[in-house]
Amino acid sequence: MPVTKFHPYHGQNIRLLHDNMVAYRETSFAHALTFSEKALKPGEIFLVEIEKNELGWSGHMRIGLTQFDPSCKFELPQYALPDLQNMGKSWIFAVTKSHNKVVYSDAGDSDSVDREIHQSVLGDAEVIHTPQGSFSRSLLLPLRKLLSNNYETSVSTSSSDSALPTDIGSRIGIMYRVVGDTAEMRFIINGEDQGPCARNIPHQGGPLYAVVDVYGTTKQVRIIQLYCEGESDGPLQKEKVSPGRKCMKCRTENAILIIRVNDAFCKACFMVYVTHKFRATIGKSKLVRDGEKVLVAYSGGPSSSCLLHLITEGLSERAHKKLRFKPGIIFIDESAVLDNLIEDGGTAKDRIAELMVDVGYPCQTRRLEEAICLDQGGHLSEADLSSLTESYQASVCTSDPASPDDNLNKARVEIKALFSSIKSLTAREDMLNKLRQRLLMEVAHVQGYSKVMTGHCGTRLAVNLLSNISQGRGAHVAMDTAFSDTRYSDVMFVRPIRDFSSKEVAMYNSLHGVESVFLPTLTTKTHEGSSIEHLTEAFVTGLQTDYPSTVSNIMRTGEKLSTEKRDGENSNCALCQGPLDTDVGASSALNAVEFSSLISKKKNGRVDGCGDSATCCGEGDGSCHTQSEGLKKDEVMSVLCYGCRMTTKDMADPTALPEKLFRQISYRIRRSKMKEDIQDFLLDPENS
Amino acid sequence: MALRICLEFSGGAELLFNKTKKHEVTLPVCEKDWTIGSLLPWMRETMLKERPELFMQGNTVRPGILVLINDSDWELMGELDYSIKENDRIIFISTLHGG
Ligand SMILES: [Zn+2]
Ligand SMILES: [Zn+2]
Repeated sequence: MPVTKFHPYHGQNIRLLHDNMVAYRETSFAHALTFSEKALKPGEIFLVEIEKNELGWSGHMRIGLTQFDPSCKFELPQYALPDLQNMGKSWIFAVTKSHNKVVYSDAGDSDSVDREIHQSVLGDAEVIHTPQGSFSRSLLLPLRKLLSNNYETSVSTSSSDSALPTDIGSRIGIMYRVVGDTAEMRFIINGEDQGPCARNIPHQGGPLYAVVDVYGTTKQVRIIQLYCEGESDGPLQKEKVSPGRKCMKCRTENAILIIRVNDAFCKACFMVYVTHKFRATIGKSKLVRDGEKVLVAYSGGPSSSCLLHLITEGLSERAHKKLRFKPGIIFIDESAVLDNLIEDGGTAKDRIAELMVDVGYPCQTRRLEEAICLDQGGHLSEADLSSLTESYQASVCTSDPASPDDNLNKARVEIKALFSSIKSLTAREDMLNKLRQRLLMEVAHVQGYSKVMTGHCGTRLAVNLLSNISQGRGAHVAMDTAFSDTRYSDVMFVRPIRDFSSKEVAMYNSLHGVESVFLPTLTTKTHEGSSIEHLTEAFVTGLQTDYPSTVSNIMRTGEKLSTEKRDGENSNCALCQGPLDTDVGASSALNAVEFSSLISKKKNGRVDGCGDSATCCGEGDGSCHTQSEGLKKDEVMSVLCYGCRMTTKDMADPTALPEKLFRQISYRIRRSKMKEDIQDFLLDPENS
Repeated sequence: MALRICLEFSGGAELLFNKTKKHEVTLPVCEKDWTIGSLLPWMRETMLKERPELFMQGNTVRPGILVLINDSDWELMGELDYSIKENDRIIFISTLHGG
């Protein structure tokens, strides 16, 4: 369905804005007739929201249907009521403060409309189906009603219960449906079908256009897109805001911030809105169960600090509908790969540890290098992990590089070598993300956490989505940005603040005095183009500044993408655990890349320089280390997804990859080789 | 008359300002009123220690840096046109990953 707009022919005092989706009356209270651009079809709802009122006039917006075609540029009367109505072929009603079920115009047809109990055309379901398409019921509701329905607090209820149909934010719809040979018209006010308000409309006599008279107190209305998803708050350009605006929700307090496209909130209403959004995201998914152990990933940064604060508030006794899961907090010390950037000698990390302990849940610090030694039978076994059990005290796994733990120190050296072998910043960032993810997953797995919560906000995820696509991770974007990520077998990653913009996060932290600790990342103080991710961030935030719906539109696009989940151990990437997307046709980009590297390899000799893969020490079970060292770069590649191959290609030495990963790789290669070798001896079920 | 105001930086923006989060500054006497629009170039000249392009873009702040004037979103205060008053508290928060 195309976008629903106002017809370019309208009353002389009307100015159409936003690509003809908004009608604004510039002066006076008359000459403000507007029409739908196209005739309505039976069952199609034409919905507008009152955006501005102007006090000092009596009466409000009028709405209805007419068979006069605005394209004929007929001479427009001053008012819809009574003038247009008196011209005939028009059925118009006034929206009033005390809207009762059936409102009669003085000049309406004399057929009596009984006050029988009518069947709502909307039904009871969450999704409303009309012949033109389906949409969520919530679109018919004003925002403040949505908020108060789900979140009853002292702040929201009193004002929203008394909200009037003529108030700002009110959503008023008009539609007709065919009954026998004629049609009846219905009004829908803030989600409620008001029942038939005109009958016996000869709809076969000519197309019916919606007509809106932006009359009296009503100053500006916007068409709400019901059938054209994504356009309702499409790429609208930012509007200049007049200082001293009131909060759009309570309408009494002065607004202190603008969020989404142009919504002004006061402090109290913003707090309610944020808390509600967080609770609704968790509640709606029904994924987090009471008493469940949830590992909360905390980086000290603004988003995860905000997440931690929301969780703490939600679990506290004073919370309305208390959250009931059991959090544990984890901080991953990435200094092994960032140490040259950290100049404060660890005070930031100490502060993070303090903040984590203050919250009062079990907490732990892990070092990134553990990601490459976490391995059953490897350097840090399950037993080692349990000896480093989480605690309420600050005696968390020490982040002191001079730790007596030899294995960790060895790992620290290895991980430094790994990162220095990666040439580009893009690939380094990517590797860091993947290792962090693996470590979180391993810790959760070993300690019996079934969920990991991360503080990815919408802005961050939108950046990830676009940069993932640029890095050839298109097959994984859906799971990388969704609320829940189920690629790991027994640990689910959830992103409860994915609907928050980074501005909302910053504002929340600022208003609540939530402390966050700044730790540099790989791209801190680098120029915009230093990595794909960094460049994408500059691109997205730049767009977001002028087009405030950028992030939400990117996220919505991401939701429409999905990947089929294939089963079997060989179908997941050994590094990122995403589904393997490398089983593709001969002409793909992947093959082009493979081919060109093959050519260049012929010139330079083997990249890896390793000998045969059959250099096992002789233990026979292939579990020894020498086996994995014998892996060729090509073999490593074969068990990676396209995106991880790109990252690995950037490495001089793929054998620096985490050991556990190596074991998986060598295991898989052995399996598939064995399958090949015994192929001839297998019985073919067809011939037996 | 000279104006005394408080400037704060967080989210990594402080790295460009001597790694100091809070700055009490006095704006010199000026013929015209001080606005955010005239404050920003002044900050660039007198306070920014390095990499001005990471803080400013053209005559305004770089996208991704949130500006709060006395705890309110600057978008509600007229942005660059806001005229600065004595004791105003202006906060610059970088919402960018890694500052
Ligand atoms: Zn409010
Ligand atoms: Zn992968």
